[in-house]
Amino acid sequence: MEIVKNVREEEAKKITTALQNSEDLAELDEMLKNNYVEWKDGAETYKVRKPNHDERKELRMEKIKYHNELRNNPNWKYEQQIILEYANKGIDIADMINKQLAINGQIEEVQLQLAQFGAEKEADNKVIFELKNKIYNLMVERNGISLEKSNLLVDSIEQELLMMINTYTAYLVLEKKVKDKWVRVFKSYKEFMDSDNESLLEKTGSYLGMLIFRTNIKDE
Amino acid sequence: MNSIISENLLRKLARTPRWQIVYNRGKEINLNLFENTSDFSQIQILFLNYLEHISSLYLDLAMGEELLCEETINDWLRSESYLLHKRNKKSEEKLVGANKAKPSSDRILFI
Repeated sequence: MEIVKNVREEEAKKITTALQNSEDLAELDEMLKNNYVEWKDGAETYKVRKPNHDERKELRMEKIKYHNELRNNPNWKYEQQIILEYANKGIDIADMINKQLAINGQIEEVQLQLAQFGAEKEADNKVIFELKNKIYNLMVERNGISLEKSNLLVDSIEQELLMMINTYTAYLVLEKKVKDKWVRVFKSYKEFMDSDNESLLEKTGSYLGMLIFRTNIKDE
Repeated sequence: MNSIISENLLRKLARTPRWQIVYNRGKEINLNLFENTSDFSQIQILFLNYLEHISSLYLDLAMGEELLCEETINDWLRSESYLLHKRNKKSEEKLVGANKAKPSSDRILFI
């Protein structure tokens, strides 16, 4: 009886996963159709799109303005300055970058070994599995170093500017439909930054991550 | 819609016969794949890369490339490895070809 129950649960799980996959594929298919995303939230219809020429120009000017502000503030430092400061404390970020490059080389070496296996023979399966495992482990090691490096440099001028570019772009291209016309949701960047509509901001960020910044498209 | 799109899902969609047919026919008859014909989004650009990647693998398979099989095409890591091997082989061949075409220093003296 227990076995029958387990088999049923397993089958139900498989069907649910298959359905989820086909739903995800259909949604993805829909999203690829155009270079903007539209969604409904209650009575409102929202949209995010790529910035046009004038908006890109505005973004550039704002970025220059903010960069000057940060440059003249002694509390903010460039990545290179932070790297030097860490080096004095015995934390070698340059070495982390070299390690990442070395791992890339190692990954390519294993990939070239893996490429030698054509039409699968039963006997090859174990070697293929081991080589793939080796690559995954190297990738995990590389990603770990990358994360550690990013955490150390998170308060740099470069990272702050990147954050500003992302949020300012979101402010510029987030629109809602008002009487068949698309209008900006927020009147100013300040209003956007002060907004507590977390769900709207989160969705906007996610979609822009797919449309422009490629931050919300992840490899497993 | 999920807040994060997995590249695996993009590759899966790019591998579907429908998209492969649309992509390959589209190249021949200049068919638009998306409603926008320019200013592509990042996700569209990535998807186009995957369509081309998979299409070129199927072409090599049809040409009888012995290091390829259906399992390799369905396995992203293996297909990436195969393409890396192919690229390396091509650059090696190019280098050999360039060395052969290079005039020797003796010939330069006579000219």
